[in-house]
Amino acid sequence: MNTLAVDRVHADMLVSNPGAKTVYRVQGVGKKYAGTAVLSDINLNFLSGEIHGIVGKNGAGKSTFVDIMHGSNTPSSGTLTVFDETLTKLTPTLAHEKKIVLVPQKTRYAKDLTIAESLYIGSYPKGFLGYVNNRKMMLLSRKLLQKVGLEVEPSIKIGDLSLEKRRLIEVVKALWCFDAKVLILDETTAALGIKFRKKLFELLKKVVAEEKRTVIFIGHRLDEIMEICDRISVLRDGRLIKTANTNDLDIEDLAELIIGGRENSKSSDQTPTHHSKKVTQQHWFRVSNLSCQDAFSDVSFEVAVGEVVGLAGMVGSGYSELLRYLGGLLLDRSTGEVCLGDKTVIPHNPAFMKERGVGYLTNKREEEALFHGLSITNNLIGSNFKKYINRLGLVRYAKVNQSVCLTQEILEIKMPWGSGAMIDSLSGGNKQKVLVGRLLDYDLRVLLLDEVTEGVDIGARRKLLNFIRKEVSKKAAVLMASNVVMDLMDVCDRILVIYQGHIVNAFNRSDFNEHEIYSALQGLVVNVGKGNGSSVSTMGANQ
Amino acid sequence: MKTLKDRYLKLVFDNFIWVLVAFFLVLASVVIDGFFSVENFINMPYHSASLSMMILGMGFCLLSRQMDLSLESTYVIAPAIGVLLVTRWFPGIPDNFAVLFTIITGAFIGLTNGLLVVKLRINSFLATLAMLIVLRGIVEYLLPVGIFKVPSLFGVLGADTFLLGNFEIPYTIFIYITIFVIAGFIVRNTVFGKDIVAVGSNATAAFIAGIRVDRVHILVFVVSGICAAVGGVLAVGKMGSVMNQLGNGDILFVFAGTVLGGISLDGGKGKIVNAMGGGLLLTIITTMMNYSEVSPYLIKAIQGLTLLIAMILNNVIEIFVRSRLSR
Repeated sequence: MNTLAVDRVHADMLVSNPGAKTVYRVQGVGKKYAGTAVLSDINLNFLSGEIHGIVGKNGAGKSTFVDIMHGSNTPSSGTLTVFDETLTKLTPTLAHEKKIVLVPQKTRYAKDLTIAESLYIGSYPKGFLGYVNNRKMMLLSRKLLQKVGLEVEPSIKIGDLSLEKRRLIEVVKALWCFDAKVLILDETTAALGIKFRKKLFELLKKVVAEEKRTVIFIGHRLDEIMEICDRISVLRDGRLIKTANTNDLDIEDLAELIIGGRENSKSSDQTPTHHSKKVTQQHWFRVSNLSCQDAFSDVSFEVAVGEVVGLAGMVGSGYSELLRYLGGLLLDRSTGEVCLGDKTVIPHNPAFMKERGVGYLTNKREEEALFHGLSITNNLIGSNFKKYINRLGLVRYAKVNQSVCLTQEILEIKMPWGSGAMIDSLSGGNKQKVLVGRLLDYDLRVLLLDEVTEGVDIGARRKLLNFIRKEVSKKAAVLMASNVVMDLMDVCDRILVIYQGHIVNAFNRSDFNEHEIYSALQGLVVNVGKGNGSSVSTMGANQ
Repeated sequence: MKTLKDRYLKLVFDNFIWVLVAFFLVLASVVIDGFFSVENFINMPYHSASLSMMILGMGFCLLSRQMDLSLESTYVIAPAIGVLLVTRWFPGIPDNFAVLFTIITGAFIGLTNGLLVVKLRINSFLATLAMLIVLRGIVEYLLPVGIFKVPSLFGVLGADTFLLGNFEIPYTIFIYITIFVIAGFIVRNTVFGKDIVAVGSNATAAFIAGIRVDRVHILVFVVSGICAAVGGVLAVGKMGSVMNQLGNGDILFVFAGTVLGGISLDGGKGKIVNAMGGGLLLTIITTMMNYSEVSPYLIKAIQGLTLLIAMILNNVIEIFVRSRLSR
């Protein structure tokens, strides 16, 4: 998009929002990593008194854009202009001084601070001789909390609050303690329930209308973007596709802009999985009417050995919880049943599930899956050394190494320093390959993969997905969950769509259409009669 | 690519304790008159054996990211109960069974520790700290001073020697080296050992990977209790008595020895066999003090200082090697 077009949009905006000034101007911003453009030629003006939505698929460049805007990443080209001052180099500190404040996607909390302390940390109200005036701090905090309608005492510890309240308090902190003129919210609503979402939206609308601040709102949920934003910019493949007033868009158009047309999105690889050749395989893994508190409800589906089933949803839609439950990690009360073959099991422990042939791959790779400080071999074998002992109970390293070599070969894991090197010397993609390799080594019948491609570079992603489709599915039933529809379309025989804890849709491979799946996981009604989407209304259990 | 030189560098770094041991041996031999003698070089491992057994126990605990402070009390109460069982409470039992009972007592104390930590979720530092005090108290109650006649098997294991050429070598040395080798084998070559390391490195990941983390932790405490009891047997045999103050205050040296041996407090890192070097180094330092004419009031200060130097060397080398390897 050239400057002329930007100016036109700008002019449009001025009509609907008279007196708005450009607060933050992004001109020709691009970012390249090793020759590959992640962002190219972004031109955007953010006006005072507007809520500006930025949407796009995963990998569209949103997070890079956010990083550039508040200074934690430097653009390869282009300029940033804040309040008519062109900045040569923006750093997070400088951004903070210019009142550009980011509320990041994930925050680490100092759990033992009180709300008041965490609001004013770094700038405590001081009294005589520089002591911290606790009373004043409490008073100010209470006022702020009342302002947003949060009925909590500021002396409560942050760690005792729900995640939702913590997120809201972070926004409060950004708005009034840091006095943000430009507030960047990076998927802040993902963790919020309806009530708190409403609260946040009211708050944002108020500060934008009354105090003429600017809010930049990055989100995945199209309905809420449509609800709250004045203007929306769509990113796709690192390019700015369109900036438009919300009034000129409907949600279908928006979904189309994000995906990039209705027809280009057929999955390319039509080679059948093992399953498709042998349809008569019994349904090894069956879940019926499974509900678990707030996480998911009335979930039913079956997966046959040799089949890859995708579970598509937005972050927070309940797919992670479902997989964690099936892996034996979510011990909340539940109803419904899980069957392996003809046996009903209650998943209460990962070791128990593993013995029954169910393996789970967590989406928190660094925290929950890797053994840091141990060798690649150790990480590959994991808890599976039992398989490699001799009669005396000693590990046979020859066998172990043989298996490691084999896994390395089929998964093409790059180990520049051999398998004895530390796991932390590998890249994200190779780490993930190691973890998938570990699951394979267990000889499982059911694999539960949560966001297997997250944080994996493009080459490794291709390899992993191919591998799951061609090799893993030979021996096991695979259920893989993701918010990246394209990834699922590449590998799955079927895709189930989960929305707010319910399975709302199911697609067969022949009917895959990124646009429809994307709309379904957004909770939008899909036109059943249109095109070839005939399977849309069938539930997973019927397949 | 990693060069051959880097490979050697890493090898040296991973086993740095032995470099320290050699360094101090050479230093003492050169500086202190009379330090360099075959008797002394046999005596040092002999005297380090009982402490090293506790270090081994602590090594297992640290590898799985737990701690066991009660080792030094187990070290005395296990032989005390073993001996009292055969001499006072059940005089009918043959004397030498006392050694067996000692080991069983150690295992039982370890099991108690393990259950407290795993089932009741008490922090292992606190649970075993309480145990440390309680057990010492019980020993002081049971033995107002000590037992001065112990079954003969203690003496065989802890004090008797066999002739090798012209030199008398205590069985103790043979026993404790064997145990360390077996321990090294367990950690490196058995499923239990692999599980210990995995649990110590990342307990959540281990749990998700299907390792029974609780069971591993309990077993580790049992092993560590047994190690302390074996150490107790060797110490009692060496002295021919069970004194109620045996091992009092040793736990700090146990920590020092284990960490010097390269076993990280962060869990999952280190070689159990190198913990033996840690014990050896502590004994070398003590022996140096005894041989040199330092004022007895300064011994503690110098011991501490030497430890500090050893740790500084350890970390400087670590930083150096890391910067080289990460280039």
